[in-house]
Amino acid sequence: MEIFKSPTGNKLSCKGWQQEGLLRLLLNCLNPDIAKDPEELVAYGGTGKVARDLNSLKAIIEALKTLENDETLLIQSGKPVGIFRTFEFAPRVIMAGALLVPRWANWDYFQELSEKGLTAYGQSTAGSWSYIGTQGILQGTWETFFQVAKRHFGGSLRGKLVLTSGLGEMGSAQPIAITSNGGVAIVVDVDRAIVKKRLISSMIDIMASSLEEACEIAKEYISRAEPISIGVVGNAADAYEAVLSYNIKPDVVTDQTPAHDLKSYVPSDLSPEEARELGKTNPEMYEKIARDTIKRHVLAMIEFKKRGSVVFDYGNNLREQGHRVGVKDAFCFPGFASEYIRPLFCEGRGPFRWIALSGDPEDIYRTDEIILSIFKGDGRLKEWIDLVERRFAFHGLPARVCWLNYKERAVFGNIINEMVKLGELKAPVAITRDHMDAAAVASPFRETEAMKDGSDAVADWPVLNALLNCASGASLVGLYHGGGVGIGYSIHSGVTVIADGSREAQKRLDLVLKADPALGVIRYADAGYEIAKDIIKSAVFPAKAVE
Amino acid sequence: MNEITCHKNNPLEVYARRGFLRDLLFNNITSAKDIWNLQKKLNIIIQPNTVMVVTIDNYYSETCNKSEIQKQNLRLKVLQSLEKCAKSFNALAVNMDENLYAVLFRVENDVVSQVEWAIELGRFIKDNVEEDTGISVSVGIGRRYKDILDLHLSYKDAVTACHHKFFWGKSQVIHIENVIPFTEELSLFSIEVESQLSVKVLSCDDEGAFNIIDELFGNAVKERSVNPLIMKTRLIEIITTLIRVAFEAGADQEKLAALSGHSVEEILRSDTVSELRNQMREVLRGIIEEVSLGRKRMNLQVFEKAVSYIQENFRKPITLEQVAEHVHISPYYFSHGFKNFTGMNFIDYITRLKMEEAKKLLLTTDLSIGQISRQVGYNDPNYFGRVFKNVVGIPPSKFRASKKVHIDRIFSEG
Repeated sequence: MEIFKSPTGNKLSCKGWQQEGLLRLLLNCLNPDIAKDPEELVAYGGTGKVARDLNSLKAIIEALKTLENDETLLIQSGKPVGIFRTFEFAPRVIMAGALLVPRWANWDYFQELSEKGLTAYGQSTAGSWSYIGTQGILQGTWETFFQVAKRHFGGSLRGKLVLTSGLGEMGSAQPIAITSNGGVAIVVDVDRAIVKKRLISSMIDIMASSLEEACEIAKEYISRAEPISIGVVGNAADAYEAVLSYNIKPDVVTDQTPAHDLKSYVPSDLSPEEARELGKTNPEMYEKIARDTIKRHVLAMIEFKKRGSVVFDYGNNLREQGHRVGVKDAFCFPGFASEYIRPLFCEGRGPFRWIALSGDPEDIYRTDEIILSIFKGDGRLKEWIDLVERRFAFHGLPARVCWLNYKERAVFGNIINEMVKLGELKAPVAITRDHMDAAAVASPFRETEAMKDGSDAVADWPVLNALLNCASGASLVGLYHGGGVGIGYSIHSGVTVIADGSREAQKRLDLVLKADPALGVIRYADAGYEIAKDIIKSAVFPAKAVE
Repeated sequence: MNEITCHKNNPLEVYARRGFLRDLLFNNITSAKDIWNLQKKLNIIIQPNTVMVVTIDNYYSETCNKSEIQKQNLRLKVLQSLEKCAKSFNALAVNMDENLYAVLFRVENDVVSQVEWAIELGRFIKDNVEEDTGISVSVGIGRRYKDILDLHLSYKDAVTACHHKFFWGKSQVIHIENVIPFTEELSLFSIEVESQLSVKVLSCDDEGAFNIIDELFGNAVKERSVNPLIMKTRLIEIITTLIRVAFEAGADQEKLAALSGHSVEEILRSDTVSELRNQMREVLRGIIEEVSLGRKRMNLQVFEKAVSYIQENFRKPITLEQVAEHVHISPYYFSHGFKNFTGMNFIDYITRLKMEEAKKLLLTTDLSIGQISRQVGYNDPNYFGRVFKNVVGIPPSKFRASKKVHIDRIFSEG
């Protein structure tokens, strides 16, 4: 097995820092401490690949190493297809991944093409080489619960009970996100080994021996208004029904079981091992009983809502699955993105991240200090940085995630470039973001669900976003299909700019970090959201909205 | 790899560094950023992701007769050797407990066989320390954890792996991935085993007890799955039962208490299964010896009491059963023990007492033979006469006459 790791330090292996930065990001996604399956070139999220195959990967590496400062490498679904003479200010890499003509945009057909070696699934940040590990997951979950607290409980979950389920790759961020917002979490997972694993790695505080015990502990901590996360082994549908029968009303109810994939969702009365066995021997029966459980699961959540709990779907398609098995009012509770993330998108606030190409954590800690001093009035930012500095050590290239708005991104990007220029940082920094951003994504079951004007499925915005970022001089721009919710359900774009301390980089940063979120604000203003409409009228808004 | 820069001559930094490493392994530092800052301040450049622990084999049995200074020198010798050895691998060594050292090192994620690589390093360190110090050591190695905040888990793994030396024996390098986790299952050490050992203790059958122990440990070694601590706890429990049995059988309470305290300590300190088996045999030998001694002591007291009772009551028609009941032991055991104690059986002993009394009365009183016969418990003077003749060799009347002549002569001559 060939192992790929990013170079570190300030020595170039390419013809410029733009290419070098992108090469390091690509290889960082394959670092065995970060990637899910580096041998298969999978960074995360099921089968999210950084390149189509090994030959493509090697060809990309070679191309980046020899790429001139006025050339652009084109990548088609993880395969390099050509190098073009462009100009210095143009992106060094442009990519399109997993895109299909809508008529054929489904998993089965995609799989067929993929097996023929004609395409590859890039998820979101795997395909665009900006995956940094689990910090991004925690940030998104923390931000969601922060917004829940802000919207319903005066800014804190202190003294509040959150009932949720699923401690897998995504769900494991929930307990920390809830307790760091002050709340008490009961998290149900059907797999004892997973609950135990989360306990050992301190992702949960206590493993209760039963749901009754979990409720008792929760009651005690709520009365003292102290945060705690309690893991308990159980089936989510059974547990939710049981909590209803105890007449306990959690303040918040959500769920992160793999409900989007019936083959992974463990039906009631089966252990994970029994479920795996049944899935192999009798998949039809498995799906049938999984649907029965999902129905009870959704009905329990609806009942919680009727009793006054704040209930939301956490992006796992639970409501849709419930609706398919006949729960008519499955969509009576909202999805997390439309309910809690949308107000942030309206102000161009999104998952901004930066990666120290030096490989030295010191560079990130230094930028942490700077961001806290620039935006010192932002208590939310301080809380986040404190949490993440405490809970996350670095592996691979050190990175930081922060949700910044349309004004903050450009300001901070320029400061980073200045720090590189002055030698305050040991090497250049890559500035990038998740694809789940205001203008960057069209995803009717998540980020663009229930848009005010009904434009949920309009995918022009991420395409425009990618084109605009190209025009603004980003170092890398990519347009992708199927990230997060699967083929047929989303179109999204990624962007990266390398802050190498040069004047040219400063220009790139200034343009991209303004244009990218500003388009997001315009997109939400266009859909009729008042916050966004107000912002585009502001004198400091960096673009002109055309009415 | 970067070289560790540590100002060796600055004791403050050396102690601070050891304190930091201990805190890291005990999971006392909760912030990744604090760890980073402390590493910088202490000039620790390596980012460890794996821990191995080193222990001196048979430390307690080897050092129990040594002064504290001698022990300290021994420990220091091992620590210095470990530090020297670790340095050549850009690793860090620290003492965690009286007989526990940790070596923190980094396994790069591009190493293909990470377990083998770590074992190789462990073997290198073990061989070097043994050669350097002449002391046998064993090594336990934990899993690689990419996150430094999880390094304490690698340390726990390493300690667990090292516990397996109990079955593996001395001078071992054991990786956590190569051991079968211990179970809490204790079917080998059942109540039946405890009962069998109790029987052997009561019958003072040390060979029988050793056979049971040998078989038991033989099976435990075959299975290699019993948690040594649980096994030791169960053995202590068994010893407690056996000590109670021994106490009830008359063994000396104080000696048993001392034996109990000492054996518990020794059992807990046993490093390997063979050491524990030997310890168990020693304890059993001690308990059985105490039972045996106690029994002898108890016999003495019991039979002295019986003799005294017989001496007071032999004039009455007493039976063996009555005397046995008086001293609270079984007639069978009394009959057997009485002969051992007095050298004759119960009837012979009583008869002898009666005849001695009769002789005294014959010489010192004018009572008739019939009266004397009744006084010493015979209603039939003829029968008394026959018995007297059997024991003394002459009939009572002749005995009185011959002795009287003899006494008179003494007085007249005097």
